[in-house]
Order: sequence, then C-alpha cells, then structure tokens
Amino acid sequence: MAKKRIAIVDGVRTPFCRAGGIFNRISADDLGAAVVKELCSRHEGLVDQVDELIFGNVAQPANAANVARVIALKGGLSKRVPAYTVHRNCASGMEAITTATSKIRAGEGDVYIVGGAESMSNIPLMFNQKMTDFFIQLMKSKSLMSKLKTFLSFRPSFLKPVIAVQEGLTDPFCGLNMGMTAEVLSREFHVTREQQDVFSLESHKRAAQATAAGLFADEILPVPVAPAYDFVQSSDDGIRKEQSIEALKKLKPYFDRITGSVTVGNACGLTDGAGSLLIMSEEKAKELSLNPLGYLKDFAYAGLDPERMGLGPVYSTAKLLNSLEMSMDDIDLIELNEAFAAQVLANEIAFDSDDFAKKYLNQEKKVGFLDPDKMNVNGGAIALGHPVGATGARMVLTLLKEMQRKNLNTGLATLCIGGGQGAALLLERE
Amino acid sequence: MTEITLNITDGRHLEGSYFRCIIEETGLATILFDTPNEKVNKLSEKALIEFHQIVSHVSTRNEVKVLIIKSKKASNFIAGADIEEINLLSRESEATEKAAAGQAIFQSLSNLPFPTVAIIHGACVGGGLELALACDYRIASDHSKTKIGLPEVGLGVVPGFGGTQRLPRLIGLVNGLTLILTYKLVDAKKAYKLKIIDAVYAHEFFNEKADEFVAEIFEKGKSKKALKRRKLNTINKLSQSFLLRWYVFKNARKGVMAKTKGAYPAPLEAIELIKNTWSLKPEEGFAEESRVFGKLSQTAISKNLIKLYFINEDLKKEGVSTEEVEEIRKMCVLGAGVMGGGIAWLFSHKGRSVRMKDLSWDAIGMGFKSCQKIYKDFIKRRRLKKSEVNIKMNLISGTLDFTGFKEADVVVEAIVENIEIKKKVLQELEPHIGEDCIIATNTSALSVKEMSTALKNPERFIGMHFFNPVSRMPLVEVIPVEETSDEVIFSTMKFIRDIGKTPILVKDCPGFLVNRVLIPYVNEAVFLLEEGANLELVDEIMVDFGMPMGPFELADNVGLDVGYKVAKILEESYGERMVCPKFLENLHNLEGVLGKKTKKGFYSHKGKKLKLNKEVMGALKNFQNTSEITIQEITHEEIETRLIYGLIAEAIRCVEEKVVSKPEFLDMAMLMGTGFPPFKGGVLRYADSIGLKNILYKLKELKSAKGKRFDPPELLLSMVNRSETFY
Repeated sequence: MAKKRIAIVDGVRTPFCRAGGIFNRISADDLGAAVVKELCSRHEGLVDQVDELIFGNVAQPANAANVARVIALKGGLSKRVPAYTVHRNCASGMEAITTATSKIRAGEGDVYIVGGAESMSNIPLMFNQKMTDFFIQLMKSKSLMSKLKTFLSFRPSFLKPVIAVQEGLTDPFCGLNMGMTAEVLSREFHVTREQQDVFSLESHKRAAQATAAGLFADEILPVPVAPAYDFVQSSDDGIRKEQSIEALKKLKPYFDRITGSVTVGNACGLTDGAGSLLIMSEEKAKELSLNPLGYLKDFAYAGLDPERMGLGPVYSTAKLLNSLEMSMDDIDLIELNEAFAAQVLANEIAFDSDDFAKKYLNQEKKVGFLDPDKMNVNGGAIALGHPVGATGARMVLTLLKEMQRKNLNTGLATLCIGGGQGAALLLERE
Repeated sequence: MTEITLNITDGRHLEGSYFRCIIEETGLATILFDTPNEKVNKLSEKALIEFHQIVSHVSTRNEVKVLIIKSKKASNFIAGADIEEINLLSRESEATEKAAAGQAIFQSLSNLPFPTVAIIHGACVGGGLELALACDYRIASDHSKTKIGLPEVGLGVVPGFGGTQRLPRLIGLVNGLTLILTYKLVDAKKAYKLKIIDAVYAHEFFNEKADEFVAEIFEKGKSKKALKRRKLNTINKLSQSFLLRWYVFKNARKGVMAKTKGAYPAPLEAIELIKNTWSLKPEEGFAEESRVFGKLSQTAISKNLIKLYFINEDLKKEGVSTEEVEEIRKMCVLGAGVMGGGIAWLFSHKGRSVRMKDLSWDAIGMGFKSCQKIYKDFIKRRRLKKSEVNIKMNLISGTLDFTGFKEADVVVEAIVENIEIKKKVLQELEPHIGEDCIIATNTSALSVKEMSTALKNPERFIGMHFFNPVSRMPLVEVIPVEETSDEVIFSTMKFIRDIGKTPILVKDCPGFLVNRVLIPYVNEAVFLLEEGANLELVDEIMVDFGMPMGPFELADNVGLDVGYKVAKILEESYGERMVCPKFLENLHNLEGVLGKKTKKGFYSHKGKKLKLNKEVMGALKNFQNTSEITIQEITHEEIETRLIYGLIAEAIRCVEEKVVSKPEFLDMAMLMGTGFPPFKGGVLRYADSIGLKNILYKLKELKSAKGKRFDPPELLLSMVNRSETFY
C-alpha cells in the first residue's frame, strides 16, 4: 500500500544571520516564535485545529528546555496544543517534518506546525572540569583553613572555558571536528582546494542573484531586531555579493592548518535563524480546499561512518529512490545542504559512481547524476549559513518555492548529518 | 448619638446591624464585620458606635482570652471610613470631634487587657488599617485584593483615627512617613516586609494558618516570634534618634515640595504633625491629629479631592452594561506610529496579542521600538523583569497585509490624520475582518461620523481616542456615532477599563472634548508670545497655576506638527473663535522644528535642562518685525486670565452642547487628559469658585480687546442670569 502523502501548506522563515551578529541577542525560542506567529496569522481559522507543534533544535538552550513548547506558547498557539523538540543534529528541522509525517500516517493527528530554530550565537561557554571541581571543593570546605587551602589551589588554567559550540561540532565517536570530516572527503575524493573555492563562489553568486531578484523575500518574515529594535532585518546577511576567487584563495585552512583545504570561506558559517511549516494530511488539505505549496511523498534516513558524515545525502537518497522505485532522472530540482564545498563535491562524485554504489550502497548501479544546474539553484548554506536546527525546514521551503516558480513537479531535499547520517525527502507539487 | 440596638442573647452572642460577636466557651472572642447591603465594609458613624459597644461589652467578659477581628465580606477587610460622611462635615470643630471619637473607640480596643488580632483578607485601607493598628497583632492573606495603606493624604486630609501616631511608631519613622505621604497601598507581602503585619499566609490556606497563629497566642498569651520581628533595626533606630530626626523630616518635606510645589497642604501638615507629636504622650498626639484632621477637612482642596474621588467612582459606572459583554482578546492596529505603537504596547502589556499593520517593515520596526522604549523604562524602574518583557514583546507582531485580521476582536486605526486616507483604509479593511470585529478610530480631531460613512457596517464603528503618551495618560475618549450599536459601546467601555484606562463617552464634535478645550489655551499662549510675552514666563505661570507643564512645553511634547494639524482642523470647524495664531503657521514652515521628538521645538531638548530654541526665537523676532502687532508688557495676571478663561469658556460650551454627559465628567476628563490641577477641583469647579459672574465680566472685557476668541458662551450668560453654578 502506498504511503500517504503529506501536504505542506505554507512556510516561512526568518532571515539567516551570521552568529554573533545581528541576531546575537535573540534566543532560539524567540526566532521560532516569530515564524510560528506569522504562520498562525496567515491561517487563522486553522490554528485551532493544530494537533501538535514539533520543532527541531540542536543546541537545546538552557533557558528554554523543550524549546518547542516555549516556541508554541510564545508563538501564540493555544496552551492546550502540546509541543516537543526533536534532535537529529543538522537534520533536526527535517526531523520535525518527518516525525509529524509519521504521526499523521499513523493517524495520531492531522495538522502540525513543524520547523526548526537555532541561535548559534547563544550557545554558551562553559566552565571546564577543573573549575567545576574547584567550585565543588569550595562548597565542601567548611572551616576557614580548608577554604583558604582550596582558594590556594586555584590556577589560571581553570578559567579556560569549554566552548560548547565547538564541542557540539566535534563528533563524540570518531573525535573529528565536522570540518575535519570534510577534509577526509576532500582527500578520499580528491576534491582540490580550488574546486572547493570555485564551488563556494558560485553559491554566493546564486544566492546574491536570488536575493536581488526578490526570491527569498517570498519566504522570509522580516524580524524587528531585539533587544533594541533599532531596525528590521529582512534579508540573509551571510551572502557576499563581492565574493571573489582571490579573496577565497587567501584564506588559510581553518581545521587542518598545515595540510588542509577546508577554509571558513568554503564551509558554511555558524548562523542564527528559524523556519516553520504548516503541514497536514493530504485529505485534510483537500477538505479545507487549501492550495498547498506541495507534498512530501516520502523520506529516508541512512547511517554511515561518522568520519565521512558528509556523504549522508548519497546514502539516504539511494535508500529513498530505491524504496520509491525512482531514479535521479525523475528529479527536477535538488536542495543538497552545503555544509562544506568539499562535501558537496564529494557527493557529486559518489552519486555518479558505479564503484561507490557497489562498494558502499550494496547496489550495482550508481545513484545517478547530480546535476549542478538543478542543485541549489539559489545558492546554499555556504552563502546563506546553516543554523543547524533550522536548515532542514528552510531547504524544504526554498525548494518548494522554487519548484512553484519554475513550475517543476519533483524535488529532492537532502542533507548530511553530524554523527554519520543522511536525510532525503522527496517532494512533489502535483 | 444615634440609637444602636445590640441584640445580646446570652452575653456571649451579640448581634448588631454591622457586627456580630461570638465569645466561645474557650475564651476566644470573634468580631465579624459585615456592612449590610454593601460589598465592602465601611467605618460609618453608626458602624463605629456599634463597634464601640461590642468592644465595651467584650471588655467586661472575664472569660475572654483572645479577641480576633474579621470581615465577613468575600474579599474586603475594611475599605476605610465612609468618605461620604467626611464630605458632609461642614465645620472644623465637628470634624475634629468625629476624629477624636474614632480615636477613642480604637483606643478602647487597644486598651483591652487581652491580646487582639486583626485577620485581614482583602482591602484594609484608611480607617480599616487604623483599626488594625489598634490591635496587638495583624496577619494577612496574600490575595491580590489584600491592599494595605493610608490613602487619606490623597484626599487632602491626614489619617484621623490614630494612624499618624501608631503607624510610624510601629514600622519606623522613615517607612511610616513614606507610606502616609505617598498614600500608596501596598500588597500583603510588602506590608509584611514593612512589618505592618506580623505574618502573611497563602490565601488558599489562610483560614487554617490564621487559626494556627491565633492558637499560639491563645496558648502562650503572645506570639514571641511576631514581637521579636517588630524590633527595629539599627538604621531605623538611628534615623529616629534626636540628632537625625530633623533631617528625616526635612528630607520628607523636600520630597513633597519637589513633587507638589507645595500646592497640597495635607502632606506638609502630615509631616509637621508627626514631627510635633513624636515625643508627646499618646493622648496629646491623638488630640493634635484630630485637630489637624479637622482643619484640613474643611479646606477647599480636600473638598475638591473628595469630590473628584466621587466623580471618579461615578465615571466608573458610565457605559456599563448589565449584561455579559464579549471580552476583547485580540487586537490589530493600523499604523505603527507613535500612537499605534503606544496602543500596541498597552495591549501587549495587558497580556493580549496585538498585530501592527503598516506600509513598510521600517515603519513596523519603529512601532516595536516605541514599545521597547516603554518596557525598558519599566525594567529600569523594576516594575517588570526582562523575561516578562520578553514574553510581552512576543505578543506583538507586524504585517504589511491583512493577514491575522480575520479573528481580531477590535481593529484600532491610528494612521495619518487625513480623512480621505482614513476612509480609504477603512474601506480596504472591512472585507478582511470578522462580522463581530469592532473598528475604532484613534483620530484626535477628525469627524468620526464622516469616517463611518466609508463603512458598509457603521454600527461596529466607534471613536477611541487615546492620548500621547499612551503608557502614561489614563484617559480614553470614546466617541460613538448615531449608528454605533449599544453592544459595541458597552464592549468598548469595558475593554478600555480592562486594559487599565478610564473611558469617557464624548459626543462626536471636532476635537472631541479634551483637545477642543485645550486648543484655545495653547493658541492663546502663542498669541501672547506674538504680543511680546516671555515664553518661559508663560510656562512658569501655568506651572505655578498647577498645570504639570506650561503650554509651550506641552506643545513640544505633543509634537508641533500634530498640534498644528489639530489646531487647523478646529479653526476650520469653529471659525474665528479658534483662529490659529499666525506665528504657529510660520513655525510650521520651519524644517525639523517638530517638538521634543526632533529635539527642537519652542525649546531645545538637548541635555537635561530646557533652553529656548534660538531658531524659534529668531523667527519670532522676524514675525514681530513684519507684522502689525504692537509689542507690549503683559502682566502676569493677564497671562493667566487669558489662558485659563479661554479654556473655561470652551469647557462651558462643551457642557452647553452636551459633549459630555455631566459637567463633573468634563472636569475629570480635563484632569486626566491635561493634568488640570486636581487641587483646583476641575475646570468647571474652578470656574464656580471664581464666580461665573466674574468670569462673564472678564470674558466680555477680553472679547472687546481681543475679539471672538473670548466670546462668552450662551450657557454662561443664562447661568449667570439665573445665578446657577455647575456644582
């Protein structure tokens, strides 16, 4: 029996802004609340029918445990609507969509608000173990002498913070930083520094063009910038209109400083942003005579080596296409997340390689040609940034909007996931 | 003395009309206060006499070990003395006697040989607190309705039942003075911190906790913990020492003077009273207190303040429906400018969601900014926490189109003051909202009727005029048109009360009430300026009169562009009577001189102190040189008369045209809308006090000198003929 399709009725996102910048003082829940409130306002009558809100978030802010619930409440949903947070690293925004999809398919609900929100600006610095021990010892010390003794044990090194965002971006199993996993792929697939820089330049160009043409304005909700509200941010700020190959060339490798090729210029940046979608069963959308942006036909997640996590798209896409008995030729448009240029280019090779398919995917034939002209036509995370929890929602939204504009029917949104996973979603308009 | 019959069945059960007393076999005596046919308990003369009888009776019963005093009302302990009775006191000696009688009753309560406990749930205010202070112990529930304080100074008198003597001695001089002088009510927790009450309990557990508290006293004869807690700390003790006391009183006086400029005698008298009685014996102190109370109760200012209190109570009943009214939860605002932003702020502050629509995101951003500015001030003054502000700011959203309007309960239009644009926008709006949605216009001077013609459905349309700054101005003029349905009027009135403002029903006329009365006053200030009056002096004279600021500073605050627009609309509507001064037009052509918002108006608003704006002064010189006006010396008296009498004339005309339902409401509106000094009792009450005849005479004189601006209204003529007054 064919699985039920899910209607993606509408979606909206905040501008994506470089971490430590414009949205520095806005928490993930406030970014999420803004987009949820906009969706609720656009579909006023529907809000009462929402069964649950599911949001993806990676950093799990300490001030808002179960951040999805906070988003639901601040976003103006009824207090009776439950909400929970999902976490699948970089695919958390997609996970929100697919979790709701599974629930709709299982008959647990009809209407969901899903999405992702991330404020990488607000990932805290933490006390290191030595400092923590010092505090504990201090609390234990009762007498003046023992307190004094504890005080004297203090060393300046105790003050060196643990940078949570760095910890989070380091694979706990293989010990590699995400950037280093891109270096692994660069070596394995022989993706040169120059190829990476050229790809990155193209990403900025495409994103700049799309912005200039007003394409993103279609999906962005301008955000009055707290806490001072001195201005309203209405576009992504990571795109470099003036980016040049010379400038990219000048950058030093960031992760492997001596022999590496991955720079901050050919990798996605730390970013703040949120995106949200209103989804429901296809029948429900029909019943309400809605005209959805499109439909989620099906999805797949796949696992692979953590140190080669960047190849997640090829693994998950293979799985998805096989189960749907489709091929890459059937796909009109693709969003493949640009975590690193090296990683995207490695995927291009792996998608198109029979050898790779045989060796790793247990299939005779290659997955198919990953046509650069169909992929990330409006740029990707290298230009727009990658607010980890939110990206998945943005990709689906951006893809559907572009399919609508070009009147294309079939789209693929796929993404690599830290920890060694891939996600792939097949979207349709008709 | 009034006859009171106490029904004493067996010496242990007393039944009066206000009180019931039960003395249990165990020795626990309970006095229950239950004013008949009222929601709250008031210490009227009758109630006091009955209370006295009960206390006297209880004092004769040897079995009594503890006396507790409670209220039978759901959420009121004692609301205070009966203000109506205070109002009726017509002689100083009578008032002094009344206070002394009350003091004596409470003194007999205080003298009882066994412990007494006041059990406070709900308001415990004025005389109510003075009664509680005469008890040995006070405990209170933390219910939101439990409010404790001495508001007498706010009514132009001092507490007269021993409050000025007992409170500072109980909680320390500094705190006692502050509470009496600021006449603020505090909640139970604050009262506990101030040590006015000995214990505070969760209201949900109040009965059992109160029983426990009483049980301890019952067993041990006292509550050691409570008594120990009352001991003053060193700083408090020190501040009461002979050496520092004078400084405390001096500082208190300084604070009062800074706030009121000495216009109100009550707080100053209260300071003197407490200062003079600090080292006296209790009976001497009480005598002095009743004397001061008697004296103040007969001042015009106290009479005015009490009258205003009653008007305010009366105003609360205006436009109240007997039936259930739909609650307004969701609001949309058209226009995110100063007013739109302010209204959005108000709504978010009251926990309701609000959506601002404007033409650009930059404009919407300005709306957010103005909300944030107000909240920032709230954080600074610790009235809200950052996290609370964050939640409130999240209630505000912005939009360029009409998404989110379908389910709005009310849409307030606050766009540019242009009738054609307003009509067009209202027309655009109508298809996007639900059938029951109220549409309100926040116009300050345009015709509501004219706007309503743009709508298919004018019965849902109403004027809702907020004042700037919305966060601080308590008044909202509500302007129904003929077609406006009663339900819409009722829910608008309720809604405005729900968001903490005072609505007043006003007839649809250009400028409505407050602006219509105020514009002649501001115009006149500019005429005076043209004729050579000193700008700062004009403002100073009005501040001395009691206005919160002079007309020029006011104009700067309102915005010269906004003021000009209103002045022009009124000139067009009322003709010569409200002719717009030429210099105001000249000023309008000066670029960037828009008042405080551009830091340039009549004054230059840079730095803390206001300085005259040289640009404006230059323009004035030019104007005077080129016009035919003869520059002359203008006396203080003329300045005050011309400003105030013009305002009075227009106010009388508003009564004549029934712009408000009662002259009293006009006075209240001017007080809330312009800060017309409360001690003067209101515009019309002030007119009464000058004598309408005198006003008429002066207006005639001014008319022949200055023209139609001072045309005496018909109503004034006929009232003078019939020797009538407004009050």
